[in-house]
Amino acid sequence: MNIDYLVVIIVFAIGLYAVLIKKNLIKIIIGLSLMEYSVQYFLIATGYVAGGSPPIVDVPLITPNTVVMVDPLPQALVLTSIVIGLSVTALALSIAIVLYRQYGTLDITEIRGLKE
Amino acid sequence: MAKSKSKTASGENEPSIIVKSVARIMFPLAFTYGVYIFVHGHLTPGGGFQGGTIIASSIILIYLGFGSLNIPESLTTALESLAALCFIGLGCIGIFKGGNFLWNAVGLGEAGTLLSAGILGPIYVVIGVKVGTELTAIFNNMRRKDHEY
Amino acid sequence: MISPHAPILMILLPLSAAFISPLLGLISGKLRDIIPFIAFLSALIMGISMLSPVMSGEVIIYELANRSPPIGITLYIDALSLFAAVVLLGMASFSALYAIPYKQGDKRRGKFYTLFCLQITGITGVMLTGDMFNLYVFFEIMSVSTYALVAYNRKKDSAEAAFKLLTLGGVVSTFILFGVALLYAQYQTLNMIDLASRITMTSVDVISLAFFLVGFGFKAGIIPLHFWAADAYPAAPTPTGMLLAGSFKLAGVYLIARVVYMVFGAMGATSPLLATLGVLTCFIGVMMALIQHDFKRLLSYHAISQLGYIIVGIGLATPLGISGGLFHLLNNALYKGLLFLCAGAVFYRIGTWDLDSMGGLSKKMPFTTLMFLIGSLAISGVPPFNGFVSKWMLYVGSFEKEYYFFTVVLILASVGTLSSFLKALDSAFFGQLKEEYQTVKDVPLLMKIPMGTIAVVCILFGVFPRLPLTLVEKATGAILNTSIDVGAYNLGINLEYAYWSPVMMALVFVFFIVFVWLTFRTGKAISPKSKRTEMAEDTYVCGEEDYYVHVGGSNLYYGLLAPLSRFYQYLKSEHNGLLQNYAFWVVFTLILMIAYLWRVI
Repeated sequence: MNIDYLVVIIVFAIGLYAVLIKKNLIKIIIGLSLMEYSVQYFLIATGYVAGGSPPIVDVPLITPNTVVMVDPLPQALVLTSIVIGLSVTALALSIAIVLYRQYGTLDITEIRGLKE
Repeated sequence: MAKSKSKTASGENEPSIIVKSVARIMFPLAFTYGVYIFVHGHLTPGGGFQGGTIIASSIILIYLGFGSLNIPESLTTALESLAALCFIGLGCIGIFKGGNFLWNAVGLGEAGTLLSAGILGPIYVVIGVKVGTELTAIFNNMRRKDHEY
Repeated sequence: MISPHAPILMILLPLSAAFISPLLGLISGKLRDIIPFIAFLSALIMGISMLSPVMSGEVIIYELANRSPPIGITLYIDALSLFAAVVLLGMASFSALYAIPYKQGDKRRGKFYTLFCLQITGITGVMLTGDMFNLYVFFEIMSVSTYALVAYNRKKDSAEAAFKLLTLGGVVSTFILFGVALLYAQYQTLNMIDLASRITMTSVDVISLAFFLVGFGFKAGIIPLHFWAADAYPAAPTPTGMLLAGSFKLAGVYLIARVVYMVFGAMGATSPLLATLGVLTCFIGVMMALIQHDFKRLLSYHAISQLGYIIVGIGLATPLGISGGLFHLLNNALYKGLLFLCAGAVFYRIGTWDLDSMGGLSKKMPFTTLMFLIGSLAISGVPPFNGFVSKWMLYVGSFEKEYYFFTVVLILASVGTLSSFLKALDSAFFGQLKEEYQTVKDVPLLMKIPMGTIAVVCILFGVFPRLPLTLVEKATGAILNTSIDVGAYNLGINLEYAYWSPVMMALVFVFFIVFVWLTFRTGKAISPKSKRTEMAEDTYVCGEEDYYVHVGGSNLYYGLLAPLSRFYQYLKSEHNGLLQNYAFWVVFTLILMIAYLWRVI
C-alpha cells in the first residue's frame, strides 16, 4: 500500500481520537486541525507523478512540454483549503477565549450549561 | 545576561533586550520579504495568502517585541474592506469588457516578466494586503483586554 | 430582460454588501443598517429575472473566467437551484428588514451585518455552483459565518453552543473534503455534470457517498446528527435564528438532492435510508419538543421535526413524494420564519424566553398573537394553510409507496406538533396577564411588515396551492430527469386534488371562525378580578383576595408523558450537553452509513 495513504489514515485517526476522547478545549482544536491537514495531504498526494518536478514554469527552459510535472490542480485546491482551516482554527480559538472567561475552565465536561 | 523584570504600564513583564533588538532588525526585512512574495506571485511559488501571512507575522513580531503597539481598529477595517472591494472590482473588469467574471481582460504580457499574466498580478497584491491586515486584526482582537460582554 | 451576468451577480451583491457595510459604518450608522436589505432584495430580483427561461426547462451555465468545463469553474442553474435560491433570498430579505429595528440597541451591530451578508453569500453560492470544490468552499464560508453568528452574543450559552457547533461542523467539513478528494482521485474532474456521467459506483465511491451524506445531513439536521441544532438556534440572534431554522435546511436538503441524487445517481439505494432517518427525525423532534419550557428551544425542536417530513418526502423518490418534500421545504421556511419572528417580538418587549414566566400577552400584543396563531396552525397542518397541502402530499405519497408505518408516524407527529403549540400559545399568550407586563406595547412597524407578509403568504399558498406548485414541480422534474433515465415524466397530472378543494376548505374555515366568534360574544365575560359577593367562595379560594391561574409551560401534558418516562430518560441522557457524546454519534452515523451502503450497492 502506498505510504502516503497510510500516513493520511494514521493522522486522520489521531485527529479523530483527539476530538472524541480528549477533554481540554485546546486539544480538541488541535485534533480538528490535524484532521483537516491529513485530508489536505491526501489531496496533494493524489496528484503525485513519480519523478515529477514542482509545477513552476520558467520560460523558456521549463515548461509543461519539456519537463514532467506533478498535477498543479490539487495544489491550488489545498491552498484554498489551508486558508479555510486557518479561519476555522482562529474562530475556534477566539470562542475558546470567550468560554474560558465565562466558565473559568478549559474542561469540556464542565461546560455543559445546555442540556436536553 | 541582564534580564530586566520591570513591568510596563499594562502590567506585563517587559520583553528582554534580545527580543527587542531582534524585532527591531527583523521587522523591515520580514515585511519586505512578504511584499516580495505576493508581488511576484505569478512568477515564483507563493502568492497572495503566503505573502500576507508573512507580513502579519512581522507585525506580530513587533507586538511581541514592544508590547504596546496600538493599531486603531478603524484603520484595519477600512484597509480590509477596501482591499476586498478592489478584488471584486478587478473581477468585474472582465464583466465590463464583455467576458465573464474574473476574465483576463487586460493583456497578457510577456511570460516571465513582472507585468504579465493579466489581472493575476494585481489580484495577488490585493489579496496580500487583505490577508496581512486581516490576520493583524485577529491578533489585535485576541489580545485586547477590554471586551464588552 | 435578463442580464447574462445574473448568476454571478446573485453571489456578488451580498458579498460586496458585506464589505461596503464596514466602510459605511465608519461614516454613518443609519445608512449601514439598510445595506443588507437592499443587497438581498437586488439579488432576489436577479434570481426572479432568471425564472422564466429556467422554468421552461433551459439550464443556464455560467463559466467563470470564460474557461469551459472540465477545467473551469461553472455556475449551474436549473429549476432546483433557482427554487432554493429564490426562497432563501426572499426569507433573507425579510430577516434583514426585521433586523433593522431589532438590533437598534446593539453597539456592535456592524459586525453582525457583515457576518450576515457573508453567510447569505455562502449559502447562495452553495445553491448556484456547479463544481464540487467550489461547493466545499462556499459551504465553508456559510459554515464559518454561522459559527461566528451563533457566538455573536458572547453570553455563556452562545459561546458554548458555538464551540460545539464548530467542533462538530469542522469534523463534518473534513468529511466532505475527504469525499471531494476521493472523487478527484478517482476521476480527475470536479465538474458536477462531468462527474455525473463518469461515476460508476466503485467501493471508493461508496465511502465518498457516505461521507457526503453525513456532511450534508449534519447541516440539515437529521437524527442522529441533530444535537447541535437545539443549542445553536436559540443562541443565535433572532434574525439569524429565523434563517437557520427555516432556510438553512434548504442548504442541507438541496445538497443531498443535488449531490446524492444527481451527481452520484444513487437514488435507488439511498432513498429507503433517507426515508427511515426522516421518520425517526420527525418523531424524536416532536417528542423532545413536548418537554421544553424555553420558547426558542421548543421552536428549534419543531424545526428538526419538520425537517424529518422533508427528508421523508425526498426519500420517497416518487414525483408526489419529492414534490411534497420540496413544497414542505418552502412552507417550513415560511412558517418557521414567522414563528421565530413572533418569539423574537415577544423577547423584544419583555426580555425573557422562559415560557413559565410569560402569560396573557394576547391582550397587549394582539398582532403578534394573531401571527403566532397563524404560524401554529400552519405548522400543524390545519387547512386552509399551506402546511396542510404539503403534509397531505406527503401522507398520500408515503401511503402510495406502501410505507404504511411511516404514514402513521407522520400523522402522529402532526398531532404532537399541534399539542405542543397549544401549550406554547397557552403559556405565552393566553391566560391571565402578569402584573409586570401591564405596560408592554406591540412591536414597531418594521417588524410587523415581515411578519404580516409571511402570514399572508402562508394563507395564500394554502388556498391557492397551484401558485408555488408550478415552481416545485419543475424542481422535481429537474431531480428526476437527471437521475432516472426513463423518458419524460409527465408532472402536474398525478398530484391528487380530487379529494378536497382548497377554496372550499377556506370557506369552511372562515365559517367556523365566524361561528366561534358569535358564540363567544353572546356569552358573559367572567372577570377574575370582580368583587366577590358571597362569603361562601372564600372556602374555595382559601381566603385569598386575588388569585392567579396559569398553567406553566412544562406541566400541561404531564398525564400524557408520564408513562413514557423511561423513553424520555433515554432521550434526556443522550441530549446531555457533552461534546464527546455528540461527536460519537457523528462517527457512529458515518460507520452505519458505510455499512449500509456497502451492502446495498
